[in-house]
Amino acid sequence: MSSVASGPASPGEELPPAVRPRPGAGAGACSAGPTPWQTVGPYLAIGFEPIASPHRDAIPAGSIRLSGRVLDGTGLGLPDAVVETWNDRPAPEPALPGSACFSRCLTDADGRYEVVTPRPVAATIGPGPDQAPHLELMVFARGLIRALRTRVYLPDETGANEGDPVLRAVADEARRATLVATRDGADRAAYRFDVRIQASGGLPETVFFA
Amino acid sequence: MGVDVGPLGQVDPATLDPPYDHPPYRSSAARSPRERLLLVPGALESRTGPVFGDGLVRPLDHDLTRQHSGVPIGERIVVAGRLCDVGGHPVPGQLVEVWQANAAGRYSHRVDGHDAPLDPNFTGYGRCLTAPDGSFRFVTVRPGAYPWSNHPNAWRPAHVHFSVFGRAFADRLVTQMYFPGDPLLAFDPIFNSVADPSARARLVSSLDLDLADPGWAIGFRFDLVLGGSRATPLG
Ligand SMILES: [Fe+3]
Repeated sequence: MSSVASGPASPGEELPPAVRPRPGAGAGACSAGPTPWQTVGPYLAIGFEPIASPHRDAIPAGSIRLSGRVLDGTGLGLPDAVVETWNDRPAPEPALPGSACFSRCLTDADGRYEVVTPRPVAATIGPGPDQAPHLELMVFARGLIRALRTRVYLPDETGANEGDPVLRAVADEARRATLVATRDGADRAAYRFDVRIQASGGLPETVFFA
Repeated sequence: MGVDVGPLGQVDPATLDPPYDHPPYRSSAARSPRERLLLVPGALESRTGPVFGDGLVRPLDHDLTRQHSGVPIGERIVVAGRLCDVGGHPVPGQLVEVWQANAAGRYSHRVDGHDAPLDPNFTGYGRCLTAPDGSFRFVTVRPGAYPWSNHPNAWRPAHVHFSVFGRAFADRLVTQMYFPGDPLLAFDPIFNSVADPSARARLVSSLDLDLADPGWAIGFRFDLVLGGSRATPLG
């Protein structure tokens, strides 16, 4: 293995100024402004698969299963998207391999994703005003220059949802409903949440966050 | 309860830089939102994000040239830089992931139909955690340009895809690193989706010959600055 330490040029070898190694490279300040987004492109599975959340048959106690589809403006599912969810925690998680509150899932040929994550609870969200329990959800795909960010609220938290400042800010009732998952069958730990990038099939566009 | 966060703002997706809908990038048409985006005040934003322990990253995961029994074909390069926030403070302990085409411009991916050779010794995925000073370092081969079907004779400039996590999930950033002096940049709708020339320039790495041993690899420096994803509301 070659050493990675930077070394001076051979003694006596004078480099032209344009290629002289800059002192202190690797240290120093970051460049001035924020780095812009670029799309993940069509081959994101190479970069995103290795920490994908496993599909589990049984939902562990205290967890929920969230599944749904990511749909484009023509109503077709995105077969080449990645969905990531984050479940807010009040304190840093223990440093496990992976992260229990973070999930990543590639969509299948129908645009379907599925994650298993701890059930969100209001007490873990803060500081600031009370918010109803929710997950953060991001979608990455070819055609999306930057990720789409949304929130997933739970349908059984009716009271908390009514007081939630973010849900309240969505005046249109049909669009507000795009932020609330629906029950998925009889299992009280299973929810459905579709992401509509544009209105399609008579249903409104999901509310996204800047 | 009781903290006044003020009204939630709204953002026109067309005013973002880069915007979601960028007509020269054809596939953005059906995959970009049409409604206004909701701007959530900072007080309501999650302040936390995933913590990826050391167990996730193995010692050689940052070296894309040593993941197989042989050495990949191509020009060996070192790509290094720092992960910082907009205040210039380093962001340590965060996961940085990269993926890229091989030296011939072919991805090790089943849907890549480009008629260029696969390299049995190159997968094109690497990851590392940022050091206490926010620095990261990858060893790889310079990726080739590759054609795509966006427009006639469209070629992507050589690039390395980067995915990074910050302290909060809202700081998440996925971008692409380009190479200085690439003549294809001027024709690339994805690179040019960033309207601001100075912001666009931050996607281009700089030649840094001090990043590796003389005669062993050419170095390219690429710093990542988080915090630009949340737009300034314009209307
Ligand atoms: Fe690419």
